[in-house]
Amino acid sequence: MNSASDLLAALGRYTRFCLSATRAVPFLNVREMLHQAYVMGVGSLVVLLAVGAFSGAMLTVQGFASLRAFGTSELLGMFIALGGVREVFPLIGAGCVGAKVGSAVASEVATLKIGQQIDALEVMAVDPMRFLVAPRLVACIVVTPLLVGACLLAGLVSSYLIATLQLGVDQGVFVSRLLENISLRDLVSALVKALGFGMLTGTLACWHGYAADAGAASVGQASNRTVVQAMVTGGVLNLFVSNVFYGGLL
Amino acid sequence: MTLDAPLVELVGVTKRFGDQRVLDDVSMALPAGLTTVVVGPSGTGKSTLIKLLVGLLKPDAGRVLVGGEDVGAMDRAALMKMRRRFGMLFQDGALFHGMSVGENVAFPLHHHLKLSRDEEKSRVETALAQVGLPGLADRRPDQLSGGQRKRVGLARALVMQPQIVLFDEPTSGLDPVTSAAIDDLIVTTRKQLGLTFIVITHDVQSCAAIADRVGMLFEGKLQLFGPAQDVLRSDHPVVRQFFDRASNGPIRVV
Repeated sequence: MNSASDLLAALGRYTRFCLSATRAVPFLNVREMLHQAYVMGVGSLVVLLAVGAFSGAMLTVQGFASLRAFGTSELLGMFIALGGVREVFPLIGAGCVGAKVGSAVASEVATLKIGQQIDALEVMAVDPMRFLVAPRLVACIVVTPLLVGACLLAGLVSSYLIATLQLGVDQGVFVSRLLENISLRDLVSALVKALGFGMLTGTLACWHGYAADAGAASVGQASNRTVVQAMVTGGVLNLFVSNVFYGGLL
Repeated sequence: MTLDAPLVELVGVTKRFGDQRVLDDVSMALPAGLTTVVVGPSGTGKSTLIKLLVGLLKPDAGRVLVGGEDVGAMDRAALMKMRRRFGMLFQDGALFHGMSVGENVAFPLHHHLKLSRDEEKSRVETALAQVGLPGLADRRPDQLSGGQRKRVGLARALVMQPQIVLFDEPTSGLDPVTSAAIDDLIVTTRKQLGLTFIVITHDVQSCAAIADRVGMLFEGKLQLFGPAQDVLRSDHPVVRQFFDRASNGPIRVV
């Protein structure tokens, strides 16, 4: 980005694109949306489960080491609830959705753009926003909370297994500390974050794909920009939502 | 629409991309029921012209008229309605790779007409037979040759029974024999269906084989436009160099 005016112009284009996509949502092709949701969900589930499990394990090992130094290792369940459920699992899950789903959607739309299939839709009097963009956007918004939820569950299960089987923490203590520190507010916060991540990933992926010009390089660029921007804006969104729910903002 | 009456007309059309004037005050009346071929070297505004006809681009000046209606002045709904008068064969077919050949051809039918499954299937088979590909409905686009992809693209362009069919470089990337077959298909299809065909190409042999009218674009300007036999025999230096495939002349190779 060369200057602030370029950034503002890009933001303007993105906003216009989002408005067009939103206007197309009531007319979206439902069958295509379900197909996309299936492809996104099934195609990303294993990755999200694996990343969630490893994150949970990592968080548990680090948390246990830190808490043991203060003689409070029985608070491990609370640590996982506060750090994992509120922040780490949703953020890591969102990053994975941005990388896996966002890059796939961006490269697919960009390939359709440079292959003239989007022009073909226009000439056949089929609105690409309704046929192509809205189904992917809605699918992304629907699937992201499910995938983030799967990531969260995998993180909790792996955390429980590592804590009890490897680190020797008492099962009852771990589970009770965990459950008594997960509130409805935590779950609502995670859901809001996931919906926001889904919205950001879906709109950024379709926008960058749609903006692809000629050449195979633009497919890679669309994919790359989507992942980078989804992660950065996802981080900003995560901070904002955390501040709203826990920091007294608003 | 009577023969030779303009179904599509460009009136003083100018189109710029940044500082570059891609089309400069182009005026031409394309008659109904004939094949008009617009030729010219690469980068001379042919693709821009075809995009202006279907409203994928808007002119910076001038008017594009389809059936007397100004395409540039249409709102989105009117534009979508107007586009149903067109079919278009894209350069590489622009087929959807996730769909079978039959699903690709059925695509516009499925979106615009509420046909029974049998009726839709029959229309698809007729369109595929029309382009010489009967029985290929179950194939995937990536199982087809370049020529077959173009034929399927043409079947999709014809299946809605449009008034006007646009061809974007229909023979590019094809071997001479397949190119000749595509030319034959264009000629016979137009004769059979009596539609208006508008072709952009830089293939001079193809132009000679299919054109009723020829327009020559160079540096964004329409150099010459008229009946094919007149243009092909013209002494206009740009036209001569282009059709004689000469490296010396006003057209500079960049």
